[in-house]
Amino acid sequence: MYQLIDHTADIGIRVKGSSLEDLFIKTAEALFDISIKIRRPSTPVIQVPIAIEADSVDQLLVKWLQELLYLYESRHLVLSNFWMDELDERHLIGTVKGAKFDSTRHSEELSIKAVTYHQLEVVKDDDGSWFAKVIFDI
Amino acid sequence: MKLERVHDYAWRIPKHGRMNVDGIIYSSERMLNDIRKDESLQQVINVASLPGIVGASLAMPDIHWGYGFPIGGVAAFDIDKGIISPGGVGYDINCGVRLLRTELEVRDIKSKTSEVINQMFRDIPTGVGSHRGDLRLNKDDLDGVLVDGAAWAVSQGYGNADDLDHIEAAGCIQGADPDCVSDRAKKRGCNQPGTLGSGNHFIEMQEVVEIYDEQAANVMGLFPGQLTITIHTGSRGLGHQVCEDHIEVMLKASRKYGIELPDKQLCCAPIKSDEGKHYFAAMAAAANFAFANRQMIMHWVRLAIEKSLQIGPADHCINPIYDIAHNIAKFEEHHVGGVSKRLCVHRKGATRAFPAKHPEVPACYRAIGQPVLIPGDMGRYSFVLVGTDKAMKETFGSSCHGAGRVMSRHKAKKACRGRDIARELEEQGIIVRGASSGTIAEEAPLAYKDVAEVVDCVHNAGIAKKVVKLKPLGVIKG
Repeated sequence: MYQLIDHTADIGIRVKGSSLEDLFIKTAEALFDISIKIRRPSTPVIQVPIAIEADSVDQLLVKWLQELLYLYESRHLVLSNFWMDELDERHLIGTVKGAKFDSTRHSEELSIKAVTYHQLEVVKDDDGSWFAKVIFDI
Repeated sequence: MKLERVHDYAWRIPKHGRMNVDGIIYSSERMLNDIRKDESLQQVINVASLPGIVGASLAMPDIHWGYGFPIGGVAAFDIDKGIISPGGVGYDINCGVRLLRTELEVRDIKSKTSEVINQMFRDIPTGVGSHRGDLRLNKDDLDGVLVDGAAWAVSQGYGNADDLDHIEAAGCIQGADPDCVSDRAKKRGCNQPGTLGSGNHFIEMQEVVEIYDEQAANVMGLFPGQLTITIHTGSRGLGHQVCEDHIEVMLKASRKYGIELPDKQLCCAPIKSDEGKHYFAAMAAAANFAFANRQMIMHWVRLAIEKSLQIGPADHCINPIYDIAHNIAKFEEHHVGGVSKRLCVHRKGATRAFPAKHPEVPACYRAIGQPVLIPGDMGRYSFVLVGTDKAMKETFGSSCHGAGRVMSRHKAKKACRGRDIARELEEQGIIVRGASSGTIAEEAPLAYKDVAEVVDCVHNAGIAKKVVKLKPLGVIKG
């Protein structure tokens, strides 16, 4: 699903998606997979609408992940389902769903503080698939 | 990569390509082998290419791969021609260290270390989204924190006015403007003062085990066998959000001002541009939040000691020795080519190390130089040093900030698989409590350089001078 980049102080991921939508969903899943260990899954009952605009596709990806991280930090939401209603290289309208962090079901594996622009790559291949490289601040 | 030896503890990357100045790395030859393994030297080169950089792009011996600047990086910029960059400060604005002295002797309290650590772990929230249930600041209070820093905390009864003399910049960076801090950043910050956070943040009980400079130790009130406490944390979610918000602004600004970026995380704006001024005002506000945070945590540390040891303030006499920032950009006067110039000094994972007699060193330390606090990993030791004239001449009054990682968090966890690091440390007499066992493994001693080696480098290079060595007794991790 994703590859980890072994960064000395922080951590990064390489992700491939069959489409831009698939890339955005897979990077979101990777973010939560790195951060939270799920012992017993909980039903995703909390739904949050998301709308993001950016100047470029790489900035859009960073802002998407920043938004998810903000929901985790401020509302303690462990997000597991992601939908895009509209997505192009500069804007995203979608919905995310998840459950409140519950220490009987979840444990925090790694606390990601921020999504960085360091060595950021979001690239479309000739076959229409997408690739991203993102470094997180721990 | 070509490196020239300057002396046994400094190496030069000669100016080439788009570099405006040389890169200088303070390190022993042995440690350089580790430094070469990651991408940090390329980051020194990247910083050297930024407009208006003065002197050299510097790296301290705890240098390792960061994002934007290397961690352990120092760079000063000309006020008129130079830039200011959020990537030169980092997400955790004014992440820093506060060292507390006590009148307690370790031999008298050692048997109660776990009670003290457990009490601190109960009373001081840890973890990424941690907040205080008993404290939520309203808008006016938060603005007070952002403008006045540690002085706001003192005005609310957290500590006393004397504490402010023992903090870098008296716990308040001038020029902070709460209006430059976004609502989201304020929302993230309003219930986080007095919380430790996550990652490498910690509170540690320590024993003074070795004295190298008796005069300086006496001035700081340090003696062998004494209990000291170190607090390491920063501006929490508020600072992260300030950085995030301004990186977006700076990406646009870099295009607007035609600044070519070797790495997007180095996005920046001229110091005197609106974007540059706006970022400084927001960064200063976040830095003040961090000073207030450490001031408030000190208050709860005092209470935790009183509760767990059943003693009063007159028995422990807990007072700050000093509090320093290691992720910050500041305006400072430095001599460049024999002329005094006001520069914007970025320190990313580096500490200020001003010498004796410097006007910005508090009067109580003016005879010995500013205390420089260098925490190591939780299994070995930490050091207190003082700043020197040589640091002022060579490194814009800067020194290292810690041990520096040598192993990624992922590798550290893998290396610790099947081991109980907390128990191993307990067998060595060090009590550890952490928000998760994952954090403890990530922060295991094997993940770090030996801080003694890092400190010997800065001591031998003359950019700071060793005063005492501290040994850990107990630690709470974020």
